[in-house]
Amino acid sequence: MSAAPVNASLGGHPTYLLDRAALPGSERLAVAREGGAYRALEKALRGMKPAEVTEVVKASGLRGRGGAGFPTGLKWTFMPPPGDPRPRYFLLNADESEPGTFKDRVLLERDPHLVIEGLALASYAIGARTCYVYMRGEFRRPKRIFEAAIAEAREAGFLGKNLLGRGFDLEVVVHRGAGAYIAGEETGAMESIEGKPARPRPKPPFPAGFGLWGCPTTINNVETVANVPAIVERGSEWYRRIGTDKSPGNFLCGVSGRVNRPGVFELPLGTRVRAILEGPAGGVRGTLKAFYPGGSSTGILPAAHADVAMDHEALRAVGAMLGTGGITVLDDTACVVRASAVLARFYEHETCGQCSQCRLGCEWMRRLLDRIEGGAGRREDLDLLLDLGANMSGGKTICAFADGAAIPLVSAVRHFREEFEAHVREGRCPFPEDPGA
Amino acid sequence: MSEAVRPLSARLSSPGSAPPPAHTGGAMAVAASARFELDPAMRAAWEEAVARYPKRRAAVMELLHTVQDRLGFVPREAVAAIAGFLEIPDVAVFEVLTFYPMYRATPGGRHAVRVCHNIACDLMGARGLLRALRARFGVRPGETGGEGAFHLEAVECLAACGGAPVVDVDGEYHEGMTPEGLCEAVGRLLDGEAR
Repeated sequence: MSAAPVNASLGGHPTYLLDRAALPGSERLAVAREGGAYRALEKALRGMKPAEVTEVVKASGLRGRGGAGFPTGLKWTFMPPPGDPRPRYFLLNADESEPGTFKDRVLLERDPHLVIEGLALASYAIGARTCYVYMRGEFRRPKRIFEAAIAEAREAGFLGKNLLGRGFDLEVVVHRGAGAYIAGEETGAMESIEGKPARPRPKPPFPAGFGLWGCPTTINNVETVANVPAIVERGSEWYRRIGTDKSPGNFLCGVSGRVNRPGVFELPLGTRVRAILEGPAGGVRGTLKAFYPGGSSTGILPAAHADVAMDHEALRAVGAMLGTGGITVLDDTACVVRASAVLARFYEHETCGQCSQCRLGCEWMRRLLDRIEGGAGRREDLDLLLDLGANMSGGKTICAFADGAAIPLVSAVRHFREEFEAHVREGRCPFPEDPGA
Repeated sequence: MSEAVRPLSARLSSPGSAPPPAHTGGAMAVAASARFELDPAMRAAWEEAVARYPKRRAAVMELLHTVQDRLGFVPREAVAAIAGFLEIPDVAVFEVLTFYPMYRATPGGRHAVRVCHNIACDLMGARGLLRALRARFGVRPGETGGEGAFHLEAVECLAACGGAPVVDVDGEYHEGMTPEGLCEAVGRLLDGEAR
């Protein structure tokens, strides 16, 4: 079980994502039902047409929690009309692997029935009778718990044939990944489920028209579907009162790095970073220097931006992104060059290699950062880094990986140029080997 | 281009270098040979996996997992058996085996110790963990220690950043790991072997 605290009731805002997660035995159906599980599914199956479910989700303004923030209900409407003869698939993305992101695992382990109810509602809305769950290979424990929950839900008639006697069938299949970050990219996941390397596909065609095995497919993140039961049960107006106008609802905010109380917290979108760090996260260990606001691919921001709100619009305005909502904190003993080099090594390891800008760009990025961090950097390396970042960015590649790899690098040079220059000038890293030392 | 920027081929072949990236490392790997027999239990698991998808080929990842769960790696005899079972060419299995970092085409240790060294774990002491394992057991990432008892790997983000630093021992996560705690845990693996 995760050692990180889970707190669902901070600041008196309404909660609906982690309400059951802290209960003992929360992964069991009886406990989950006691806490209200499957009420929304019953409501939908007994009284709502699939299009009505889509409509309420669309009206709620729910945006995807996997990183891109695309409006969920709108995505569902991209599926072809009911006359299309091909099978339809719902794909649940549980390949959580963005550095600094660890929220979906909490849901899968602590409230799997919330996730199952969400995926059932999504599948009902888009007319899918099979749901594939792309579960990252390292998630052995979440997989055990989630599969046990699937078995219980099926036994109780919430999955399988003729759900609740309403004529809707749904099978859920868990697909075990094997450690590739790029399999979390939507078409990478589809290639992977089809039994191939997870190399993203050029788009168009988009998954709604041509997804798994060329059939209509909708893919959503775990946390995204976990929002759906509350929306269906309580309505879009209730949902829109939480969060901000353009980023409604709560989100799971994972806080990691140099804070006193790392963990996953359910907070309204629009909560300020400083309030999160000083409140639920228990304060920064030492002095705040910088943070990645929503996973490594959203870039790094200096402490001066700590009053930024955690929502799509506010973060975009300061050149970052909400991403997966996972904040990683650097204190003043941590080195930004080293952090950048660690991430560059990650992107070099994870690039699928089919686009040269990405395959070669990630390798060069890692080499240059290792050189600077190792004390052998040159003045001109900084401009070379920025040039490299520009050549990897701006939609030059099949998927957004190269952009995501360049963003932390370019933002680090932009906000912390002096720190890079100090490495070059002194011919060494001026920070301790162990942060906090 | 400077001496520090060596050609890719030179970097990959140099001993002690970082593990090659997934997109190149696989192509260089050669699956080891070992006896492999498709017994009734595994055949049943394979049949069940195939039934979950509209096309047989889609089961390839699950089949590779079943072999690795049993043997600790996927020998080339198993690659051929999977290819035959799924009615696809050997290379279609081999490219999946080598694309995904969790699969092994060669034997590792009898136990797997995987230390996350991505951003949150790096900030919270992952380097200290790797230093301690090297000092105590003389093992660096990518090496096998304790006469084959355990294989050490430094791995990318395990999605447990709130419990950093995190170590995955034989598929179970251990959060908030300290150098002493990790050395003890590895020591227990070795003791278990000695008994």
